[in-house]
Amino acid sequence: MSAILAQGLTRIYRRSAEEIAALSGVDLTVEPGEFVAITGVSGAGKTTLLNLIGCLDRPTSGLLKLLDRDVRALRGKDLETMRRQHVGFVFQDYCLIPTLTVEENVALPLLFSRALHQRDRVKDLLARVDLQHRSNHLPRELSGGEQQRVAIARALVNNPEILLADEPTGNLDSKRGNEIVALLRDMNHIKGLTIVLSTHNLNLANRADRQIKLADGRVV
Amino acid sequence: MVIFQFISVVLKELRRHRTRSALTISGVALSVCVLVSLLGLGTGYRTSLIHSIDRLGYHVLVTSKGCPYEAATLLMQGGVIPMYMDEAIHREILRDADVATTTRLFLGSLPVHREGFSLITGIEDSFLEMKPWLTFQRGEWFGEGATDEVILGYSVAAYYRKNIGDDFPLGGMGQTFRVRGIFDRSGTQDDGTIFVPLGVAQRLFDKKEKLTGIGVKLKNLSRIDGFSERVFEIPSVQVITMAQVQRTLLDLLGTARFFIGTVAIVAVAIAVLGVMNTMLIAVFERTREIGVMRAIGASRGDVFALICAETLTICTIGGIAGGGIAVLGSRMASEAVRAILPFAPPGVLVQIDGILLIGGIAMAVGMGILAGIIPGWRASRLHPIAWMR
Ligand SMILES: Nc1ncnc2c1ncn2[C@@H]1O[C@H](COP(=O)(O)OP(=O)(O)OP(=O)(O)O)[C@@H](O)[C@H]1O
Ligand SMILES: [Mg+2]
Repeated sequence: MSAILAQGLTRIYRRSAEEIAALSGVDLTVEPGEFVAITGVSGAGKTTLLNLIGCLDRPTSGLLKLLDRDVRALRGKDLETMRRQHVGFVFQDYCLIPTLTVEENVALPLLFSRALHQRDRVKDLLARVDLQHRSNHLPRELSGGEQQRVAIARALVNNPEILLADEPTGNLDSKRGNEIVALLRDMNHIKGLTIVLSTHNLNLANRADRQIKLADGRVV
Repeated sequence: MVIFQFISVVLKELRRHRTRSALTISGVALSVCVLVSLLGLGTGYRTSLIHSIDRLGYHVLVTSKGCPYEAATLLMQGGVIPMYMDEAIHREILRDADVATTTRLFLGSLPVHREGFSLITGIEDSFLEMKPWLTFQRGEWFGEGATDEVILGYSVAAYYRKNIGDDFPLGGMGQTFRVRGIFDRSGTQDDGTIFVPLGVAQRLFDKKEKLTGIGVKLKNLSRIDGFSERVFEIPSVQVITMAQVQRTLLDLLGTARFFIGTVAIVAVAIAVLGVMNTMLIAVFERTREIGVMRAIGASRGDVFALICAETLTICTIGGIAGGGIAVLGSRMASEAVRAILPFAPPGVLVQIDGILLIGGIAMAVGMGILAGIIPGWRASRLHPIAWMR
């Protein structure tokens, strides 16, 4: 069983008469426990691909399987379950909820999965990303690198099998960027987590098990 | 409990826009305050009215013919019933088997101290039997055969600063009376009345052997219809039963309550629309946060619940605040109403009891749910990545 399997994956944006093919026929297999970096110039379709894998968007055509489940066949509730239980998502600009503290941000997915009794996982994860001393701070009191570590902890709190990160280091300097990738590498090793991240930075991409390069919505 | 977690998320959101939250909550508070006060005015007014009619003491008042509305208002407000009947009618009524007690009345008004007219009522001993709550604050009942004594209602005594034994000039003929007694406050028009013995009143107005009314208490109130019919046979006399007075005034009150209700509903509707509007703006502003929540696992239902929890919190806080303000302000509101309304019975006009208060807060909770439906639905329909571009 592959963690992620895509065949002929296509996403076309329609705006009135105009059609933009953000992805056209992407074939891709990611095995469980793999750490894959997706590279490509701006506009190549990296975000589009990750959104599709993360069940945040729907393909126009093609096959997409996550953990052997056909995503295109999933409807409302099942898609929500997929996002909640099996996939974690990290955004380029962290996207923490500004009114909630670090700890509350990390615990939020537990609220949505009705699993707040597993709160000790929040503490564990905050220790893992080395932010236990900032638990009660608000996001705006943290640096970019720290906020991204909170976002990673949040993405992992429901123990997903797959972690997707769209340019997680895009807003950080190279030192902080390296730290984030090192952290992800650790998670990948320790938990056997499948990770797919996108990046412009070839240095960082080189530290993945495998690189997939996109250009004009195709794998090259 | 998940709901409390939702509310704690919401409270933080409300604290983020303090001014906006405060204004929205104030809007709800205002409408609940208006709602509760207006409904409280309805009940309070009704209770005061029934109380003051009950305190007339008679089951039936027999007067000479005239407009019953006029008679009812005159009774309540005090005034002169301009027509007289013979004492013979009193003797006839006394013979009726259903009658327990009667008291003859002679009402008129005379200038006092040359500064406007005051209501004078000629009464006899049985008057006090009819009104057992009417007690003396000071002094006592008229002396045997006295012709120069008055008993003052509570307010009259207070207004003229009269005490027992003081002179009390009445009418224009230079005759001076002495204050014999002062009644306790009764909360009825009796407080504003000057009482003299029946015979003295008849003489003052030069209407010997005439009466303006006969108060009748029946042995059994359920016989009131039969009694009324028999009295109706007597020419030139009409019967005002207290039930009639009540019905007439309560009918009027019913119409007023309809308008009051309309105003209250409009106030509530405006508040609901206000909260809804604020919340729609908030949803629009939070497109990105809502999308992120969806991306990290929130279901449509979760998003809907979060938005509804917010409107619910706003309205519940507003409802409690508004209810509290209404309770604290009910005395002031009563006085304001009294100043505006042409006829206001004594007593607290705006009465807010526990049930009304809880009802008002429950209404606010309902408003919260109502105001949350459309914004919550909108939010739950937002695409998880709509904010990206
Ligand atoms: N909602 C949309 N409507 C129309 N076109 C879109 C939409 N989203 C993406 N596109 C187009 O699809 C193509 C791929 O976009 P995508 O965001 O996936 O690129 P990317 O590789 O993530 O770029 P970057 O490195 O700048 O983030 C681009 O040409 C973009 O303009
Ligand atoms: Mg992108």
